[in-house]
Amino acid sequence: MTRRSVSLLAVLIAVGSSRLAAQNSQFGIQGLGTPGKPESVRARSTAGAFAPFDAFSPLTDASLADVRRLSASILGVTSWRTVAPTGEPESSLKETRFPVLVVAGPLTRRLVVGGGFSTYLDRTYGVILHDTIDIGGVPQPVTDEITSDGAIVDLRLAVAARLSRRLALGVGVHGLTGSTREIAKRTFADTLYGDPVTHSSTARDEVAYRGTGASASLLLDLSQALRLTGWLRSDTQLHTELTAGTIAIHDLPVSYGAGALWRAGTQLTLAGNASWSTWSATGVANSHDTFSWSVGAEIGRFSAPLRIGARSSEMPFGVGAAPKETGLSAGLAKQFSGGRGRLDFGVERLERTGTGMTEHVWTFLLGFTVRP
Amino acid sequence: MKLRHALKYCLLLLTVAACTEQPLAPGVCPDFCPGAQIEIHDTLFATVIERDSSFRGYLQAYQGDAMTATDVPGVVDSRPFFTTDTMFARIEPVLTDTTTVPKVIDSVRVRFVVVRWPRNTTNLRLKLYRLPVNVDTTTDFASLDPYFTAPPVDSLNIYDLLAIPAIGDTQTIRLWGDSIRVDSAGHVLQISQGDSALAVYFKLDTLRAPFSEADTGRSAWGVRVAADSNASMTVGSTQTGARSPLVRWFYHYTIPDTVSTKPDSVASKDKVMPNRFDSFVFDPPTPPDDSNLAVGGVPSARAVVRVNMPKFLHDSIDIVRATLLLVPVSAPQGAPIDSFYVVARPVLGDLGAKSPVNSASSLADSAIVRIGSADTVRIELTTLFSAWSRDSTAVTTFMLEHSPEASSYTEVRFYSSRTPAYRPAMRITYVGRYQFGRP
Repeated sequence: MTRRSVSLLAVLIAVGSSRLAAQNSQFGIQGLGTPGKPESVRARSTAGAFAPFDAFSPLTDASLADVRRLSASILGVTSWRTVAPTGEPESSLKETRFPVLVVAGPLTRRLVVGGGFSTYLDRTYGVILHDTIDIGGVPQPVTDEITSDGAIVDLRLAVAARLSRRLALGVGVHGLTGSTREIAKRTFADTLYGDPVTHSSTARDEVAYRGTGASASLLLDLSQALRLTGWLRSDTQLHTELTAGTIAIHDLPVSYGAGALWRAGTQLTLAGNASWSTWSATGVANSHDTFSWSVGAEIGRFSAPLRIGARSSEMPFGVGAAPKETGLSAGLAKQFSGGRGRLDFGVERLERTGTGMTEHVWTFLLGFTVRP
Repeated sequence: MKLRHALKYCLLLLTVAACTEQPLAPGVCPDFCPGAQIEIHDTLFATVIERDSSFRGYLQAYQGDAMTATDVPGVVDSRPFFTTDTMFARIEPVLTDTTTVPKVIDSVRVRFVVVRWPRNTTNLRLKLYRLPVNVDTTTDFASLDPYFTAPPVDSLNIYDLLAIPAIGDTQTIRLWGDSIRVDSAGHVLQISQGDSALAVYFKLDTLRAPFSEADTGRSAWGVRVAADSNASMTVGSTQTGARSPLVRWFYHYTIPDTVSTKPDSVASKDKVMPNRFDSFVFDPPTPPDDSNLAVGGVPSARAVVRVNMPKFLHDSIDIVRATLLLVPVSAPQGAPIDSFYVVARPVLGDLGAKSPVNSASSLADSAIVRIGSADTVRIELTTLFSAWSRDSTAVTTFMLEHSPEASSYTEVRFYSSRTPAYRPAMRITYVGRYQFGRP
C-alpha cells in the first residue's frame, strides 16, 4: 500500500469518526434509538436491495470475498426531515451524518479481511416542550429542551473466505460502543427562577453504551447470473452506563435475512432481499419485531450506473403497531482514475407512519470509495 | 464542461447546507418524548436556619453614607448636623511678605445634598440651625435639642425651588457647572444630572451667620425637615465625598501697597471649609436588643444567620429558587420614604459577630422593608444557595444588614429561630436529578 493510500484512508477514517449517527426518527426517542442502515451509497440508492451483495455495506460479511484489493469506502448523508404529529403543527429538522465506513483488503487469494464502523442505533434527537407547572400553588410557564447527541456504533471486524468458485463464507465480530451527550434544560418564564442570566436549570451528562455481537453469512453463486445470500446476526446485551455505573441492560435482537441478485444482462442487475429482527427481545415498552424487504436495480455500465430501488420495513419502536417505513431511492455513480476512485450519489425519500406521527425524509447520499 | 461545473456548484451548495443542524422539534408527550421528565420540587425548609442571632455596633451614625432628617410627630424626630474645621481670620496678601491683614467676611453658603426626598407630600422645607462647634461623637439628641428648637437661621422650600425655571446661561454654567434654580432669598437648588440628587444652598449674610473668631472660624450647622405630612429626607454625609455638607465663606481683604504709586487694592476670595465631623441624632433612640433578629438602627445591628443545608441539596440537584422568609416582629415605624433594604451577604468565615462579610460577593441579594408594613420579608437567595449546593465545604452563614447602614433611625426586628411559630425559613425550589439514559 502506498503512502498516499494510507493517508487517504486516514482522512476517510478521521472524517467518518466525526459524526457517526445515521438519520434519526422521532419513533426512536422512546426506545433504544433508531436502527441505522448498514448500507453504502450503492446499496442505499437501490433501497438496500444490493446491501447483502455489496462489500462496502456492512450488512453481511461474505460479500467481502469479492474485494480484490485494499479498498475503503465512506458514506455521508444529509437529511431533511419533516415531523408531523397527528393534530399538531409540522416541524422541519435537518442533520448531517457519516454513518458508514468500510475498509477491506485480501489477506490471501481466498481470504479477505475487512472492518469499519456503522451506526447501530442513532440516539440524536431534541425535544422542546412548553408547559405550565405548579410551583407553590402558582402556575409557572416553563420550556423544556431535552437533547441527546450521539449514537451506538457498530465496530466490525470480519473475515470472508471463498470456499469454492460458487460459495463464500463470512464471519464477523461486532463491538457496540458509543456515547450520547444528553442535556435536559428547563427555562422559566419567571426571571426569579434558575440561573440569573439564562433563567434556566440545565443538567448534562454523557451516557456510554457497550455490547457485543457476532455475524455469519453465506454467498452462493447458483450460476453466473444468479447469486443468493443468507445472513444471521446475533447481538448480546446493550449496557447503558453513566459515570456512576450501569443503569440499564437490554437484550439485543437476532437478525436474519436472505437475498437474491440476478444479472439480467451486461447493463442490468436486479436484486431483492428480506430480513427479520427480533427487537421485541429488548424488553423496551412498545418494541416490535420487524420485517423488511427491498428491491432494486442497477442499470447501465458498471463504471457509471443508474440505480433505483424501493423498500418497506417496520420500525422497532413505536406506540401501538410497529411504525412502517417505505422508501424510494435512486442514484448515480462515476468511476475515475481507472477505477481506483469512485463517487456515488444518491437520493432517498422515506415516509414513516405510525400511531400519532408521520415523518417524511429527503436524504442526499454521497459516497467515496478508493482502491489505491 | 458545463455539466461538470454545475455539478461542482451543486456539491458546494450541498456542503454549505450540510453544515447546519436542526435536531429540535416540539415534543409530543408521552408517546414521542424521552421516558425521563424534568422534575421540580418546591419545599419549605422550616428548620434549616439555626443558631441565628444579632449583634450591634458595626457602624455609628457618624460612619454612615447618609444622614436622615425626619419629623413624624409621635414617631421619630431625626436631625443631621455637621461642624467644620478652623479658618484663619487673617491672611498674608503678599506671598513674599509675612504681614497679614484681616479677612472681612461678606457671606456664607451652606450646602446640603438631598439624596432622597418624598414626592407624596407638599410644602417640603429644610430648616437650618446654627449649633455649637464642639459637637462630636458624644453629642446626643437631648444636648442639641435647645439649638434645634430655637428659631432657624434660615429655611428653604424644596418644592418651591423645584418649581422655579432653571437658569442656564453661559455665565451660570461657568460658575455652577450646571443650570440652577434661585429663589428671591438667594437659595439655590441644583439637580444632579447623574441621579437627580438635589444640592440646596443656603445663602447667609454675616448677621445670620457671623464669623466667630472665638471659635477659630469653625461653625456647626444642623437641619430639620418639615412638610405638611411625611416629612423626611436624607442628605449626603462626609463619607460620600462629593455629597457631603459644605460651608463656603466669602470674604475680602485689602492688599496694602507701600511700594508703587497704586492705591491699596481689595481682593475677594472664598474658602470651602473641610468638615471635621458630621452625624445625626434622633429620638426615640433605638430600643435595646432582645431575642429577635435586629437589623439596622444606630449603632447599626446585623443578624448572623446560619443555614444547616440538607445533605441532599448537595447531591446533583439544581436549586432554581431559594427564598429566605423573615417575619417582622412589628411594622417598622417612620416616614414612608424611609423604607430601606435588608441585604443578605455571605460571610468569608463564621466568626460570630466578627465574621468578615464578603462585601463584593455577587451572591448577595436584598429585599425592601417597607415602613408601616409587617408583611413577611422575602429575600431571594437563589445564587447564594446554588453556589452552596455545588460546594459542600462552603461556610453556610450569611449576615443581614441594613442598607444603607447607619444612615437612618430605621430598624426592623425579625423573629428568630427561638420563636418556633415565626422562625426564619427557606423556601427552596429545585430540579431533581434527571434520569439520563432511560429509554
